[in-house]
Amino acid sequence: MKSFATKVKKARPSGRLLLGVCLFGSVVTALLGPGVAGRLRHVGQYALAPLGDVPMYLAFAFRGHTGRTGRRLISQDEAHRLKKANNQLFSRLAELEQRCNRLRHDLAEIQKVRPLYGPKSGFPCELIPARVVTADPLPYGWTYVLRLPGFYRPRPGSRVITRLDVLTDRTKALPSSLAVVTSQAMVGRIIEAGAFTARVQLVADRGFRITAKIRRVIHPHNRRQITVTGSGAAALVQLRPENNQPIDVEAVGDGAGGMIIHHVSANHNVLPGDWLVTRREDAFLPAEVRIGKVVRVTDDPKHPGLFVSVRIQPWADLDALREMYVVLPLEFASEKGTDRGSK
Amino acid sequence: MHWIFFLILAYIVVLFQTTFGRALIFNMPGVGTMGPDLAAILAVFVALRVKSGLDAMLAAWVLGLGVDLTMGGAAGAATVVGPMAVGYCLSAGLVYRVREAFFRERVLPQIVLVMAFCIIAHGFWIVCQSLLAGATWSGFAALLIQALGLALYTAVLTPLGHFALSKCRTWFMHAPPHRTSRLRR
Repeated sequence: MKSFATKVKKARPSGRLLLGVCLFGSVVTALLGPGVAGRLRHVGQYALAPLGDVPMYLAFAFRGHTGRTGRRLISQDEAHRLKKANNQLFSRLAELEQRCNRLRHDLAEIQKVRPLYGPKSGFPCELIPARVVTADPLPYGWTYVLRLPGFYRPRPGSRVITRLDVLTDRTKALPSSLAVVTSQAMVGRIIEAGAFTARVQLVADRGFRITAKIRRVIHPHNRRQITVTGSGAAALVQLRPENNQPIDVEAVGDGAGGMIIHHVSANHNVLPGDWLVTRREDAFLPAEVRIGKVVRVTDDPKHPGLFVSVRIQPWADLDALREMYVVLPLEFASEKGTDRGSK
Repeated sequence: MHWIFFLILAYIVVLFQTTFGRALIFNMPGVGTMGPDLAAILAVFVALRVKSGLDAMLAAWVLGLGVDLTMGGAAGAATVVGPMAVGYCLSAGLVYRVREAFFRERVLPQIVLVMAFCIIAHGFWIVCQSLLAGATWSGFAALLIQALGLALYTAVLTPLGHFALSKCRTWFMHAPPHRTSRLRR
């Protein structure tokens, strides 16, 4: 018995050897690159995901309660104006509700025959509901780990959008997928995915990069002029719906909760309040979905007067984001191995 | 070291950091996002009290690996696994070597050591990620400033962390060690 214990003691690796193996393994995995790291991380996610739900709920509840940092408070005049507008809208709402009741009856009749004659429409994507279970442990990155239902395995690059909770009473209950598409904001993209969990890189992460469009908002009280350079000399014209073409840009995350777009031509006269939206040509999200809002436009220091840098605030409050949809285009869903192929 | 209990504690700390740690993060205009590294507090706590330098380094390696495995985005690209484990391990070894010069029960030395630990480990991590993960160097300085902010933030939380850990020290550590100045098995 004693000899067996001695043998076991001798066979046990020494602390130095164990430490050496650990360090060597770390160096090897580091040299193997992000591909291997993704697979290793996925194993780590399995360990954390089951218990991450409750503390993540508490964290988001806390962040949601405190709200977006740096949010501007409205002045008293603005509050009065909003209250007045609100009252007007309430009375208007009452009228509309009466009309709505009448139309609802008509609609019920029309719905019976609509599928027979209506065009094939809708959002050409499947929306996979997902919930955040863990986040980055350190503040350098902006990624969340999502728990996915069943064996869905989204492609890396798949877009992730917000989910909207519509609170209604029982009589006005809405179908679960009715309002979500038009009120969405894109919040990130999948960078690592496997069965049950996936990692989403938020739009504010330094590594996030997307080709998108700026939609200039035409405000009746704040008209703007843009410079048009046609065949002749440059001319200043007023921005109207007819000449309000979306501007193709490349936006990158700034690592500090927002996004930035460099080298936007000053001719476009982009102003705070304009929208950054996705492109319909995007293979992963073939729809125009809001990403953020322009909050600051500054002169490009290298090309003052010619180009500007645009800072974007994400539409969604990334700090208090818990429920999301992973967008799976239907053309990908039909391909083998994309979503349920790993079952 | 009671390794089983330490591993459970490490799991809890990493879980806490990846979930509720998000509530401790805030944006600082011009600098970026600031948040604490709670695993570093545990690593320094262990390095200050453990009997052997190898145990301190192994414990730090485990914690660093935990952070590595849960860290997805950062230096402009998908990060690699390993540098944080090595950085933690080396920093813990350093803390173990210099701990004789400090009174470990005092608050100020704890703060200084945690700050130094974070600066070394995170500095090492940022350099490695920038080299290995194919990141651009444009944000390198910003990341270093962020690491300094993180070190400060973590140092501020250190007394609280050490107080909580000292209450449950006997679960994962043996009796307090005698003082020594050399790495021993």
